[in-house]
Amino acid sequence: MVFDASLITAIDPPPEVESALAAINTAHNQVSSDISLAQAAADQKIVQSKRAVEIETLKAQAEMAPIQSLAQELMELHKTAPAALAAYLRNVRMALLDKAQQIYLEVSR
Amino acid sequence: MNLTNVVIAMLAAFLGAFFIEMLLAGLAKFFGLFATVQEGTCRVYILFGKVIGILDEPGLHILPLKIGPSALFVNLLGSCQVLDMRLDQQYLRSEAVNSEEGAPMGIGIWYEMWISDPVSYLFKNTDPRGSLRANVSNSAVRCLSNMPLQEMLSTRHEMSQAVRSEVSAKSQEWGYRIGSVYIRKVHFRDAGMIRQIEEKVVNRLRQVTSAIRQAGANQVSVITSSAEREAAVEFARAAVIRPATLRQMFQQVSAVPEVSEALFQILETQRMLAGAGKLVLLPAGTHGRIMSDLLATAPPPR
Repeated sequence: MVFDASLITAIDPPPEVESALAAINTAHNQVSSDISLAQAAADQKIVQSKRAVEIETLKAQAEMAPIQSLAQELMELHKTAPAALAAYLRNVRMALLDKAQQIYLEVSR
Repeated sequence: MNLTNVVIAMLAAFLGAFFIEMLLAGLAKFFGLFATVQEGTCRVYILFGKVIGILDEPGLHILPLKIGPSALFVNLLGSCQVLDMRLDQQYLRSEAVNSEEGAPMGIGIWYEMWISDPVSYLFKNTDPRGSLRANVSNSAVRCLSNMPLQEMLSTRHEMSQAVRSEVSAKSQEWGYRIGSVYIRKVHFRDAGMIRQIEEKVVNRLRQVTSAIRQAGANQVSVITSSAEREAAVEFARAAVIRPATLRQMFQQVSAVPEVSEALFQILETQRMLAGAGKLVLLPAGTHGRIMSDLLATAPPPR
């Protein structure tokens, strides 16, 4: 019986080579870690920006909603009775008299 | 008394028969009536300088039936050689060869052999084991010298086969059969060359380390920049959402100037009412004099 094979018992690199190989492993692990961290930070930033769009959209809608409602009401008022618009406006301004601390009135002589 | 005599007689008969059996067996063996062959061994009988029989099957053998009447006095006038037929191994360390490039290399060779022809082993070579060692060594140097260094370092199987085929024919002449041949170690013999190669390898590995780090930094930069670009686009989109949302509504409102004016007057009034500022109401109109009077009576600025 004849064995056709080669036998490799052990490969022991010299200390400097082993150190350099270990440095490669360390660098590889470090790079993998850095890439993972960068990827995580990038994902977080993108999510943050998408969330900012949603927040701004909601804020704009919140700001617009009362104004739009008021505008629609005024539009209806103007269509149905144009003179009533001025009366409504004057009525709104009446509240200023309650708030005013001083009022100067000009009287005719 | 009679019982004691009987026991003594039986013991004496047993001991006598025992010694007589041993004596007869020794005489039979001495006169070559039988021989015992152990596993993994071979017995070669030589009488008057000539081989008269070989026993290589383990077990009990009746010698006169194997080698004839000369068995009766072969132990007296001849000799019997007992050979170990088991597989044997040898390792040759650091056989010196040179590569094609001139690098002094050392080869470690492991080989196995066993005795295939006992007569040739005993009589054709005074030191068959030493001859086989020298033959393997010479064959290794002859077959493996001037090989390209890369092949020498990477083709051990082919090298082993080359050495084995070279050695086999010669070894059989001396009664040996060569079994497996392994090139176990290929190494540099010049310490300076080893150091230079180590330095080159270390430098190359350091370059690879730097390249890995640089590639990683580049990839991190690409990831960060891409994310910043995408985020900047989204943030810009967020910044224009408010004007874009309000623009449409104000376009509709400003189509009717009276409504637009009233809307903003109402909004202004609401802000004034909600604010914490001090509110003073003055009469409006171009004919009013109060403002000019107030300005005239105001103290001069310091």
